[in-house]
Amino acid sequence: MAIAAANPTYRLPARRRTELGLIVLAVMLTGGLYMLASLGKAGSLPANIGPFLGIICALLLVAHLGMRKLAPYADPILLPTAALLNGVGYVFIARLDHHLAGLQALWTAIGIGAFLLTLFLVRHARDLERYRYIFALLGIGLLLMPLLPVVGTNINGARLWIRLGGVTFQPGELAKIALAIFFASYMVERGELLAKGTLRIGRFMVLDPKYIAPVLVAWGLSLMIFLFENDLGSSFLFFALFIGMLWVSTGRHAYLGLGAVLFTVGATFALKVIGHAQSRIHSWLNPWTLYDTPGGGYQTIQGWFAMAAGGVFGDGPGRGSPQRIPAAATDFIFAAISEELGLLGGAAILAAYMLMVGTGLRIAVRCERDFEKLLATGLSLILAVQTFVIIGGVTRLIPLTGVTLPFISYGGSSLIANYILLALLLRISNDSATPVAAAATDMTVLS
Amino acid sequence: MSTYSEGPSAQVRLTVLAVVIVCLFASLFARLWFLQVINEPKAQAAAQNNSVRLVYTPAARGRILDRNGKVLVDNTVSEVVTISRVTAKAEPEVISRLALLLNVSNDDLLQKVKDPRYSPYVPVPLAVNVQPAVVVYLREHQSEFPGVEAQAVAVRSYPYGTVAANILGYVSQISGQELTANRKRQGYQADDQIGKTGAESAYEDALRGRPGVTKLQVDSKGRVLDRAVAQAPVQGHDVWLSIDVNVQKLAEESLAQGLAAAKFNIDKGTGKNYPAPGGAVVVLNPQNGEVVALVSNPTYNPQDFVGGISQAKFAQYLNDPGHPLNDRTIQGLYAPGSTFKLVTAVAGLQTGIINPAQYFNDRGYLQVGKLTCSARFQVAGCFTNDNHQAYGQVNLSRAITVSSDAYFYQIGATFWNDRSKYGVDGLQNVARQLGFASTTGIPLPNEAAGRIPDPASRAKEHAQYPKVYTEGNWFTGDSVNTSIGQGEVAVTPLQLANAYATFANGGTVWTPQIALKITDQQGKVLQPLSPIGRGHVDIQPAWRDAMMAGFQGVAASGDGTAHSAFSGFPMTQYPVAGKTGTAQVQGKAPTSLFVSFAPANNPQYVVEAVMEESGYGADAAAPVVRRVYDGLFNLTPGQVVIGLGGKD
Repeated sequence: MAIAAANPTYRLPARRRTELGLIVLAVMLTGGLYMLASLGKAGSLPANIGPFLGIICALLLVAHLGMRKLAPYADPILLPTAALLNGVGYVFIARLDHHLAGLQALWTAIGIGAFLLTLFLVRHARDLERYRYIFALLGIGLLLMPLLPVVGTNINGARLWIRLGGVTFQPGELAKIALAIFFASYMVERGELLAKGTLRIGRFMVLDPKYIAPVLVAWGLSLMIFLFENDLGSSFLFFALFIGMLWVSTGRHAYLGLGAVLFTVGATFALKVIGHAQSRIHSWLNPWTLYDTPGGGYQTIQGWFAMAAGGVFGDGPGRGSPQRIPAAATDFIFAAISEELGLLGGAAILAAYMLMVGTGLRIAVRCERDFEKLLATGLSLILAVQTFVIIGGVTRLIPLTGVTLPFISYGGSSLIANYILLALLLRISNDSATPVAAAATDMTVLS
Repeated sequence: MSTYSEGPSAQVRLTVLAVVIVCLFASLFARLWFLQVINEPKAQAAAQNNSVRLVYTPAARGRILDRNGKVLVDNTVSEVVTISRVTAKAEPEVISRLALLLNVSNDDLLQKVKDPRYSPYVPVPLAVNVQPAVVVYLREHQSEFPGVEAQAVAVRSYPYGTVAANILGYVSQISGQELTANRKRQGYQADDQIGKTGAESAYEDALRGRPGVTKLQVDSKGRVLDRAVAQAPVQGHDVWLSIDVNVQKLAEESLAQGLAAAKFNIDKGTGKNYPAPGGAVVVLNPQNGEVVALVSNPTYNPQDFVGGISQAKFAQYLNDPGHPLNDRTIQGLYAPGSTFKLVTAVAGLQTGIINPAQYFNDRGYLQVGKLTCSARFQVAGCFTNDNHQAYGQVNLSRAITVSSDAYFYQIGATFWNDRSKYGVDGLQNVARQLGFASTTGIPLPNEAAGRIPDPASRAKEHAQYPKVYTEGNWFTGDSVNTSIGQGEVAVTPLQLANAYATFANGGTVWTPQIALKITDQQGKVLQPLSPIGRGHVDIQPAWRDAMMAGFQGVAASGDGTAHSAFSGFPMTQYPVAGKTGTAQVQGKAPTSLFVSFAPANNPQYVVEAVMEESGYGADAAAPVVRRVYDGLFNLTPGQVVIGLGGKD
């Protein structure tokens, strides 16, 4: 705001120039990594280095120009960081599987399209608040889609995908965002009621069930769907998102306690009832004994070998053997990166995520309106928890559950959803950073 | 308005959230540090072992030859049709086409594709011994059979058919129990072949050779990234047996003829034909323990095991009452009957119970109980000669020649009655010295030890199984029974032949030797296998002469028990010494035995025949042995003529 205030003539904010500089840096890093990976693997520069650099430059330039037009005051760090992660992910996918790389390039283009479309459609974050029940229905509908008889598809024992004309899509990725919007607007609307007890029982004020019921229903329903679809990672993500947002919005520590209890109950239930969950826990604790059983510890151990092979400095791009890790391009891509870029590369990736999450939370802090503040918190939480769940799983810190690593893993739905998430965060950032005068002009133009 | 944005509390909560997230990421970093720096050497070592898969190519086994270099077990090339598992999975119609071509059922082939014994990195064998025409068809129509290959593999072949099958043994797939930690260390795989019986098993380590090893670098899906031949297969060594295949063949034919002829003979006790279901012949060199022939009848065809024996065929062998897979020469347990008198005579001489000059009045029986015995009738407590015959005044030589039981009963009874002087197992001790009641140590597997009963073993059995062994005490009658190789005495044909070899060579107990040397493929001797002496039995020349005279009389003397079997045999040129035996078996016709050695003045061969339920030793076994001698001494072997003399 200080910057905006210093530019009363509403010239293009300095933030966009910063962003452009960072984007150039990201492109250079990605291009360099791409060349190194090709040199390491084949001993020659990639034949398509020209078109490759051309395409990423073009894509990011379009995104940047869109930002200048649609969200000129938004944060300058998020887009270049996402572009860097996306680029690193692409290099590793290309290094592992040429066919997937082509698709990933297409998905990136579509993702950036979705990013711009979101910025274009959502001119003010507060506009979303009004459609809270539409987003609730949309979220649940998206979650339910894979259970439909014809289009729903099972992959690796989880029913998370829909297949339309040869293209598989994971609608749950988008559902997370829709539901985060719903939670934010609902919790803000009912904030006071949720924060303070309205029923007096003896000396205690307790929550009136009728106020919290819709949220509980949404949470329970979504959780059930995740369980039916065998997506434990998303289940946990969703749960953490909900409890985190509730706590941030109300400040009642009781919700954390309730969350812990519900988590214990849910986890126990899942362990008792869902074979998938049992085997995940079992292969987390005993990867070696289950080394040769299908779905056992093989993947984890191959990932462990790969990371250990990398050591501190890594084998070098293209010089490792990440093709030995099952699902190296999707769930286990972090192991592949850690093998070739080492502890330093892995730590850099972690730092990039922390930068994004931290920026997201800073955007939340700067928001004046509750809805935007809570939505920014929720979106940052999605990013943080998803990253933690998959990297924690790959490194065997926590049980392995199949979620994607945002912006890096191969996967169209994940990439599109994350670009939409990014667009929303930037929109919120832009809203709170726009100088009042500029905003007024904007409104005048609109009206 | 909500409390959310009011005051600092919301900002504080967001800060707390940020701190929590930083902590989570810090834990990820710590974990990465642990995996990539602290725990790295351990993982590197584990990874080495896990990304490399070793595939073993079995080496061709060494050959087995007879003492003159005639090949008894060779290798031949067999066409094996294999399929890659990837193809089998991806293109099931290939399996159907193959099933038609090989004329087997689809399910059979699918079963084989799933066989977990085969390494997932090598093609699975679907059919062995495939006809050349089929192989040609497969090669000409390769496009219809992707992933299918015909490979030539080495399998066992038997130029002499079933000859010496009991000695050679067979090769078959290693079983779970055989695949011990030790075998795994030697590089055995679950689909490997291993010698199961006979020489194939005894000399497995020499015959097997060194399997080829290919190192495969595999990826996460088990696809082969790289392959390197770490070690080429090396064929196993050749084993030269002490067997002479001509003698073996001769002995096998003689026994088969003898058994066939014995079936025509009528058992006077029952009035029925002798069943003569099987028997054994042993030929060995008494001077060094080399086994020249070991015959076990009935036998099996080792060719049936080539390329994997069918369940049905194997079950047929196992359920055959004649136990064709067992080697009777080392696993068959028989009462030795009168052939055991060798032991009793030596024991009597060693202890001084008898001496060669002393005469004994054979009245046809020995009275042990209180009742007065009669030569003609069966009385309790009386041990009679065969056919209740009385031989009158007999010395040791004559007692052997005519097979006087009473003479030897007397020795047995004395051992027990004067046990304060000779010990409770004086007789048994000599039997043990001569190699009974323990395995002879021949390198063939599954040899039986046999048994020589004594008071201690009797008491032990009674204590353990009082219902089966109702009597725990030892009586004079037991020693009397033992003295003529009856009662609970059980010996293997090889033990008995080896005991006579000891007598023939003057007292040395040899460990019977089945192989002479191990050579490489070029014939270079890698390991000579020398005769091994096990011990010495005191047989003084005077005793030996007297006994020798008796044994020679058996075949040569007019009233010798085996005289008729050796009629027309050139006794002066090749004097044969031997002893007949007719062992009573509870509920069955008697076992016919004849053990001999020749030439008596310089023994070169011990020849023994043991025939189950075939009648008198003189009638069935002696003619078989005679025919073997005919062959050994280059006389023309005639037909085995089963005698009807009814002599023990």
